[in-house]
Amino acid sequence: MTAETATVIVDAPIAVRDRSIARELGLFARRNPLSVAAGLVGLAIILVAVFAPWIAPRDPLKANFARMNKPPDAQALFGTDQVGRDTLSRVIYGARTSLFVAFSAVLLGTTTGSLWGVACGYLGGRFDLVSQRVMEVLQAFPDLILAMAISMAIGTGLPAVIVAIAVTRVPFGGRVIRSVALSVREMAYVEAGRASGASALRIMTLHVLPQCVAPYLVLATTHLGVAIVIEAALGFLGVGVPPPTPTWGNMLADAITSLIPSWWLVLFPGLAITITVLAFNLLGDGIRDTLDPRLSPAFLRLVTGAGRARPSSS
Amino acid sequence: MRKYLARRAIFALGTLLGVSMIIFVVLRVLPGDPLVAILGVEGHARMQPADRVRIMADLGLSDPLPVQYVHWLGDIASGQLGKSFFRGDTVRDLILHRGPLSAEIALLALIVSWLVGLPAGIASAVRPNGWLDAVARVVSIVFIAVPGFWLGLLIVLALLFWFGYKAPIIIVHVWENPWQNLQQVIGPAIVLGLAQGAYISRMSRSCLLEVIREDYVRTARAKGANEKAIVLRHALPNAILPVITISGVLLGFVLGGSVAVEQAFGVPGLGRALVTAIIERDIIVVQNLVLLYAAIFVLVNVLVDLSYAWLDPRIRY
Repeated sequence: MTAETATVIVDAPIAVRDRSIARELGLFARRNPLSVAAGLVGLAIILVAVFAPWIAPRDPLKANFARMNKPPDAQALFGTDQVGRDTLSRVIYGARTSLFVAFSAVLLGTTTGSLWGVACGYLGGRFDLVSQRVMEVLQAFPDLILAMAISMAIGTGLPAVIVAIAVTRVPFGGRVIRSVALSVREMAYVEAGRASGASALRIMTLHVLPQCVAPYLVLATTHLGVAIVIEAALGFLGVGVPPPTPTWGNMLADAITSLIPSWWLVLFPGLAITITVLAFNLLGDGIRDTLDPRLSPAFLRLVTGAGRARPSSS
Repeated sequence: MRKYLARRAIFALGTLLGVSMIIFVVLRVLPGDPLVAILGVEGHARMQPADRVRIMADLGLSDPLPVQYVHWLGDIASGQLGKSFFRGDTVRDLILHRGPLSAEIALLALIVSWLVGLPAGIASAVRPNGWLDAVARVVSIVFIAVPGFWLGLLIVLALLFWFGYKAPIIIVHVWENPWQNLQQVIGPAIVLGLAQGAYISRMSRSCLLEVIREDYVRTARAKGANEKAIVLRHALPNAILPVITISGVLLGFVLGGSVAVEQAFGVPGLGRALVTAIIERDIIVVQNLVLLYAAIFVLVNVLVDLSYAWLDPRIRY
């Protein structure tokens, strides 16, 4: 090792310790203004979903036969549907269901896949071989089609839709995190752990897992967008969360039941899907760009616990 | 090469066997009585036990599960693929009748995606951070986020609203009436193609940017080759392989997406048949169609791998 690199390694942790988390975030914001804006939009949508009962102007399920199929006006900003329900309120409540399903599915599916991937990458051997075949089989299905079949089999309902989407996320988490775990297991500090007699489980949870947090975050953010689209498609095809629960997909399905669909019933739910997916995708892109070690190691250290468990400590 | 081909084929068959097992487990072992769907809730409640036994036996659902599974594999091998619960025809007839429309859509979408995506990617890479690059990147980010079925709905609605136009709703095959057939498939193909094109332009941009930095490209520049020749003849062939891969992966997205997009455009293709079968709980149709979609996806990815060996002389198996 040359003297030059040695100095860098010695200096780096000191420089990191000086930086507060606020400064790291500030740096992230300056480098990725677009993804910060996207993150704020995402946050706003999440807040709207959480506080839907206080924000929505009307009851999303209450029909009003005096005002059926009205275009947007001062009373109903997004118009009303075939039975007089307020579209704006339904879009707001739709955010609730759609985001809840997407977050749960990613939390369940991507996390399961990632933990599985850590085990595959670290343990290797026959367990890895068999697991890889299973993931290959799961990846052989087009996402939406697998989700449709599963949600049909276990009955349509909120939990069924969540499980169906989660299963399609598992192999992606598994693949990516496995490759991270594979490279981490060769690191000197992991070997040191093995040499000092730590159990496989201990090494995996304490030494390998923290290194997988950053790629997991990127993966999860990207998968959120995918999960939202799958949920909407399931709802649109009539195999998602059953009506009358408003979800963006269900609203689109409702809209096309009439012979000549009203434009406001199609436009607004779709816009909601697009904006939400766009926000999460841009946020994911920004995090990935930042986590690329050539661009900025700062955020990587931030999310993995500043300065701790550095892979190249010599 | 032949050995590689054989190994790849066996691998793919193994994957498909696994796929068929998962489909079978998901559709047969999990709860839910198919007779509820066939007879309706009331009919199901009024059914005598003897009737139930007879109907289940008729449908081939009363055998032990492993036997049913082997029967299914037999049906696949014979090419008949079993019968729909509700309609007299076999699933093979269904696929032959509806499949061509969906295949046309997928193929056209693939063509559209390359026609749009590749030039956009090249234009972006030639002047990175120029205005054309900015436009191409924004457009591709937006098209990746827009759900195809919603875009489809908007197009259908706009055509209906401004021109009073609606595409034919019954199946018109290309050999019967090419013009009407085109009207049926062009909408879904463009919507699906643009979404894929967005990924293709992103991928070809980043691959080209990487290749353009290489020494041999600089040499070509130093020798005074014109920019067009450098990009198209020297850089592009080396940048194209990952783009082909992603195009294969995207097919899974198209196959899945086409189900929803067909619904949006009201195209009576295979995707519509699958949705109908799922809503009717027509298990035999569902299991075969899902397997078909997975098989196509696996096959395309094998072809992509093979095209690597064919296009890149450095790769020899």
